[in-house]
Amino acid sequence: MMLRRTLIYALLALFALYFALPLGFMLMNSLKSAAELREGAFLAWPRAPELSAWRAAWDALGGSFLNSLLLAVPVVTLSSLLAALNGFILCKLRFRGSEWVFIGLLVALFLPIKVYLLPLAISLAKLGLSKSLGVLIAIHVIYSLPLALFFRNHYLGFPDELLRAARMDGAGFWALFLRIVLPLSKPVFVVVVILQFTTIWNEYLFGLVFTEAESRPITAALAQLGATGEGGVRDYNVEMAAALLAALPTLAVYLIAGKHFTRGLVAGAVKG
Amino acid sequence: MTGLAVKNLSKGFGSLAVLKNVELEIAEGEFLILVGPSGCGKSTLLSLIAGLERPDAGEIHIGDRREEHLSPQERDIAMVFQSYALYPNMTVAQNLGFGLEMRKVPRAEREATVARVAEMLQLTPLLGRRPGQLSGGQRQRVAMGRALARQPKVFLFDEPLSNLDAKLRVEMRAEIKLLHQRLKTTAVYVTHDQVEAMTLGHKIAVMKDGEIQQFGTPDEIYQRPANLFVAGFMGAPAINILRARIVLEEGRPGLRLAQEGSRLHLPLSNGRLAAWAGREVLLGLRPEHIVNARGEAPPEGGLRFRAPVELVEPTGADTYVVASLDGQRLNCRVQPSCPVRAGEALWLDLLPHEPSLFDPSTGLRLG
Repeated sequence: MMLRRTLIYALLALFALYFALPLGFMLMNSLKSAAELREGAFLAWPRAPELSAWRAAWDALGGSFLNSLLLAVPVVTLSSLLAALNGFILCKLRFRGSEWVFIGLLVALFLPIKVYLLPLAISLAKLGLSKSLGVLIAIHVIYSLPLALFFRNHYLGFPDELLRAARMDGAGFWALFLRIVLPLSKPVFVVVVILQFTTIWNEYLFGLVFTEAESRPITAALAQLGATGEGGVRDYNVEMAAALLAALPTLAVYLIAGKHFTRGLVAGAVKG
Repeated sequence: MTGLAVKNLSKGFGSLAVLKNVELEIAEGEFLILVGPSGCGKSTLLSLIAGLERPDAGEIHIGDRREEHLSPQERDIAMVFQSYALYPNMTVAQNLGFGLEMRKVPRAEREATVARVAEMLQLTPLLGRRPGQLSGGQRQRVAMGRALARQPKVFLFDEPLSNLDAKLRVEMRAEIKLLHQRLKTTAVYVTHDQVEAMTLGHKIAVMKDGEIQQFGTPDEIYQRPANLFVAGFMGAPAINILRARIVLEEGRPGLRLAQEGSRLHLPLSNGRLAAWAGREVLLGLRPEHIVNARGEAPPEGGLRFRAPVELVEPTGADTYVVASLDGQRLNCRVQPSCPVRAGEALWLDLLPHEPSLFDPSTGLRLG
């Protein structure tokens, strides 16, 4: 028994090390100076750790970091609230054709987002909308509509008597949703917010296509940073710092909300 | 004044008719019980009164207002649910005050009402807790309190005690009755428990298959059941149903029960039954009308007979004896002091009363 437990932990430690290693190297090299890297000391500890690479990375990506925040925060907020609302309606206020809407959302969930790229670009051009962060936010919110399925599934286990009680108490649709349904959706909300934030923050293609240079999200800007170095001398330390900078918010979200995440994932599975 | 009236109400789901032409009327302040087996439509009727469902046809009057077209919010009704349906995200105080808040009652008044209701139901120390931290009985009280706080025209109860253990159920039943005596608000109470029905109701509607089988006072329902179903549904232990024949003796109708060899004859006071002379009927006898023989002779108008005992069930206050009468089982209530053993014969007295007789083909009450 003891032996088996030790073995399991040893194995887990090995995997943890395996997955943490690249991150570790990135962090190490981001703290080295350009001169130190040119000597080829990739695997060594930084001799004199310094933040010049981070400063350079922030100078290059700071603006796009803010762009990404300006993009992700409204998209995540709007799309999860909208998803909760739609999920509630789909699940509890069945209307004529609601099954078809459900199937439509399901299909949309499985289609790769790249399929929409060209039609979307043409539509925007025809509508006369220029590339901007606002347009990108709208696009993401619209394409996140299938998130409603998460909430719909959660609300399947939601007792109808509770809604009936609230209606008898005089609650209209919005009071029902805002005072009863939404506060009881926390576990799914955490899951959806994490998934959605990660997706939107890491999204590259739409971010590249539907924005101008000054409104680029960080993923697109990071790719450009990598591209500019090609052919010449590459500032690996700056690139490492930049990549870490781009990954930090999602890391932070997982670290902060990770516990709720696993709890939320199983929340629908076992009725508590 | 009318408290609640239901006229010709019908409701179906798909091709299934759940309620068929239901008619009910109670005066203001009366306590109406809807009782019946699962699937009889009693909960659907309650939902229609609440406005949670819309009827296919018919009218619902609350007070002097016609309300079947109104939404639940527009009706002045509060409901206690079987699952209590407390808002898990709110404290007890918020649960109690939610209905008032939704109806835009000013904060000060709301708080005063919540405090008063909490006091009435002994919930004051629990006001800051959430439903998850309460016991079943406490949750039940909060559910009641939420309805009380609203001071509605009509209270609806949907099997409110069915999730409580036996002892607590009896306590809460008494409490509901006391509250109603104090508040005198019209109430409709759905249950499948016939004891709750008998103890709480001014009026009882016994339902089956979406139809009202009988609507009357508890006494009428119990003493003069309108048909075999009502007779069998109300009363525990259940009523005995025996085959018997109506005969004419000196021009007066009587009831003949065959018993191996001898024939038992029970005079009937209802002269109209003479029309049934010579025909077989079903006789309903409540266990409390068949007791162990006391004294020299059976009471005037009663009947004494001897029957073998199959089973003895002492309950403490009473002992129930299952005797056999021509192969038909007869549940009787005897004194606990009566020496009786299974397998032995026992002298029994059928007490004089107006027996319930039913038409064997329709199941309807005769006379």
